[in-house]
Amino acid sequence: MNESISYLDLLPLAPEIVATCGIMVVLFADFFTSTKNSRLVCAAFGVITNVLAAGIITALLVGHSVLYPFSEILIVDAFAFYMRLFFYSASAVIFLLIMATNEFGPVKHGEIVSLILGATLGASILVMANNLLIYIFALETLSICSYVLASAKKFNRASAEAGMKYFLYGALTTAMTVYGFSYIYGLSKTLNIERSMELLANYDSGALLVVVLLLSTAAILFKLAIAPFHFWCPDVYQGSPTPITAFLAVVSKAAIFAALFRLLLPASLFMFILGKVYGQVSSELFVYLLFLLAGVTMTLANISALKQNDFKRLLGYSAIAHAGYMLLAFSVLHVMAIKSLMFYFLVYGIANIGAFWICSLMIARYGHAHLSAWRGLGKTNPTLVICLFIFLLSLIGLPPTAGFSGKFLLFSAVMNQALAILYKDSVLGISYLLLILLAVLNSVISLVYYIKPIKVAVLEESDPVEKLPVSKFSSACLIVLAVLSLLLIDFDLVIANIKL
Amino acid sequence: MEKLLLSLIVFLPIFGVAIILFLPAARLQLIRATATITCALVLALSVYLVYIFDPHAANTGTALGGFNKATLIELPWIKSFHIYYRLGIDGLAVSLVFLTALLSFLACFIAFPIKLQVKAFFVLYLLLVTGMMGVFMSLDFFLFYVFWEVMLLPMYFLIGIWGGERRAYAAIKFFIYTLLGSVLILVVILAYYFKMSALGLNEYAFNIPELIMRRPFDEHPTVGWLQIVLFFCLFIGFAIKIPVFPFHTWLPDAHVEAPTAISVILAGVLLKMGGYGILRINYPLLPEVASLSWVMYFMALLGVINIIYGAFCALGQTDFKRLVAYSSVSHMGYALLGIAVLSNEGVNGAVFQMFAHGISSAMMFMIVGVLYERAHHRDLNRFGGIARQMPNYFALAVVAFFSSLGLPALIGFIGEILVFLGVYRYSAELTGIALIGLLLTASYILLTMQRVYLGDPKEAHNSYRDCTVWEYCALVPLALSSIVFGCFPGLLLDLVKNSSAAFVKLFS
Repeated sequence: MNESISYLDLLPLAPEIVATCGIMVVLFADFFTSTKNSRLVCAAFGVITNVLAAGIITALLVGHSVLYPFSEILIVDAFAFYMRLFFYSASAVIFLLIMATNEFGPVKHGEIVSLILGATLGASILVMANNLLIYIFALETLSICSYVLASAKKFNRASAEAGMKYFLYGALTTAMTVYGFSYIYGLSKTLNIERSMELLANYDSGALLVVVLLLSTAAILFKLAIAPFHFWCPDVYQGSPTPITAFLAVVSKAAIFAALFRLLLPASLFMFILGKVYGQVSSELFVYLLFLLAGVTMTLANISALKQNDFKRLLGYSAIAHAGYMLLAFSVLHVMAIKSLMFYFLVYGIANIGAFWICSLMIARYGHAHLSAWRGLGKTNPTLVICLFIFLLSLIGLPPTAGFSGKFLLFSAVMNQALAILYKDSVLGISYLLLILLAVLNSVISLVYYIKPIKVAVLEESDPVEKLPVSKFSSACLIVLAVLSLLLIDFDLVIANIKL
Repeated sequence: MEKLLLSLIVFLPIFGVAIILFLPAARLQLIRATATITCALVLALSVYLVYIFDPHAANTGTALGGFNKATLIELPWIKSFHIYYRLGIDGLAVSLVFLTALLSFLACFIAFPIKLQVKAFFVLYLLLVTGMMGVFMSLDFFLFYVFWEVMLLPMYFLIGIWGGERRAYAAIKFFIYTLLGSVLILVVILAYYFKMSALGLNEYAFNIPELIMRRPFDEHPTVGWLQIVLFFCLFIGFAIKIPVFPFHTWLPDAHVEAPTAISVILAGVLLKMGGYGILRINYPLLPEVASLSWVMYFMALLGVINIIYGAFCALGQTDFKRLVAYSSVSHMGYALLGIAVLSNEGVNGAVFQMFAHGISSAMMFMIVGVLYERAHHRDLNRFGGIARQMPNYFALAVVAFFSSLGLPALIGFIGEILVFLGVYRYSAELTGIALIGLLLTASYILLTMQRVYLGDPKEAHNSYRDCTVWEYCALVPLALSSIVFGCFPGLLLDLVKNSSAAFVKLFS
């Protein structure tokens, strides 16, 4: 093993170094600013840090090869580059949201901003983790920051409850994951994820592998709010301050999905499960289990969302449902599936941040995002409602928005697998087809609740209401997000440029 | 010019939208004029399109005959998936494009009395026109789907904001039903894409004419369950739009709650999209399933059920508009029946019937709308003696009613008679049952005329004035087209017959 640390190893980590410096700068800046200015100053530093980090990633992206810095405890490949680019950019947009509205009250914002930066840092290390300990370490960096952030609204009961709930469930499932990892280490005698997975792939007890896999992914399934681990999600989403909810729904979720890929993809375990000893009970069991999880998650979330009348809670359920859709990509082992999942993160992220932005404006004005507050908004703030409509269409997955392309790519990856398998194993093939059918029917169900705010804002008659104050800055950001949501229906703009 | 013609027809309304968006919301006349002129230009271009369209021209080498080469346009859109911006027309499409242009122009006049948020109304209305035109012209599966869905969105608002009392319910019901259908279509699109990739024909994966020619799922001579599933996924998707029993329940709600102009578009154009989808995509893609004897019988039976069931429902209505809505269900049954038997007469009849229904039902909804403007109710039992109060209106109503009834020399007759000719050769029993539909149609039409127009004038109706200028503008052209196409059906049949012959040839 190479003991010395080369400076070259640090180069791919430059964005993380920038982020770390950013955390310190923010804390210092917070120290020197008044409570009144702290929000704008700290968030602005947050934006700068993230933009810098994202810029460095873009620069490093040119002519990359797969690197294993620090004695292979990290793996820096194209996937990691793109995901980190996404984390830093999304996080920058969330800082813009913090600049646009104040939901945290008249407090110093240094801690909040630095915690978000910390969580982003955790997320980007997580996608590079190639070592079980680093994996846990990064996962916990992301999680612990998120727990604190969820309860960042001081003196607010709902926020405190959200943080506590998130923490308790999170701690339990992390413990399960550590337990699962102890099996992996025990069976393979190595902490290196790639190697341990390869060793496990040749292990012949399939049933034990499934147990190990389920234990190891418990924390991930929990954080993704996959049924039956989804109960925390609506409460936490509703209770947390909106920018934090947006962070959890977009950055955190994408990071955790990427982590799931890290665990399953580079290794042949997944290949083994789907292909090599295809026909064994264990392998089919795993695929069917995945189907069950994805199917139950999206259906349950969509049906529960139907009767929600709070926009933020509704988006919480929508996040669960989308996790179900994204999980579909894991039933397919194909570069296209990963690409389409990445594209899905992007369009889902844009639409979700946009929707949460509007939600945040509502909360700033009315103190809540209950749908009754939306009445008459179509007349007073038409631009806002059009933007919201575009975001919601994107979340439903209807043309002419990018959400449609996202779903199209995701389902097409699954359909590819279905037709490939159909002639070898018709039962499995039909299950794939049924799953696609279930997924598209779910998007129809989701229409009912996504359209609700629009229905209230536009269709319901109302007494004249006063205009919702929207700053020029917010309008500009929302319009940019909405235009992106429309433009990206041409998924080639992204897909053709991703080279994995 | 000819290369751009189709794109112009599709996107001209978007220019109209851009202009209207810059007009101040208070300038109602200007907004209405802009929208109407835009639709008039679209109509003019469509007429020119019909004029240059040569039904006998050599086809473009695809299975579907007569795609007009001069107007076919093909530009790459999403390259990595071989998705193209590909618009083209054949006889079937060109007749429906003309119908769409005509109705969307005339419905503008009917929309003039709308006072509420006029600007938003016409913006959405023009977007709807773009969506409809796109559906009829797309020859790329992906593009078709995009237009198919894009057309839904304005419709939701047009029903939901300007509709009647239960508008929100009707709007969402319409939206959900149609979306349900379209996601099934999406599943089929995906299946075709991957089947084509597996065959190494990525390049043609979304190319509708190529898909029809290559039939990637064909396992001649057997028909597998997968083909049947795909066929019925597509069929349900389009059947919801037609609407075929038992997927018709959105229709009475949507048609009744929508404002008159939108009911006109719904009945006149949107229902045709279902029939068009079946003729352009569903049947040609999987002809081996469509020509299975049980599928043929099943489809014909569905058509007959539609005819009889729709007519019985219409007979039982007391709401004027609901009656017209159910008559649509009945009339579209003839179209389905004509398609199902896969004969030349049947398909020609089905296309003619769709066109005829577009004219006659649009007129019927306008007739109802005119009355509703004055009475503010639609209860058939409270009318009576309108004929003497509004003689000119009555004359137009008679044309509308008799077109709908299928009186010879009016537009409704030709389609029905051709369908019956086609069906009789296939099955005499079904023809017999369907003929009962004619009797039922005659009864509800005549009963309605009697209840609304005949009898002594009532005092409550004294204040009713005859049609306004705008109402004449909308109704008279339709009445004229009903008579013209009724007396000279060749005008339309000449356009269509080569395309339907090519369609029928797929099944032999």
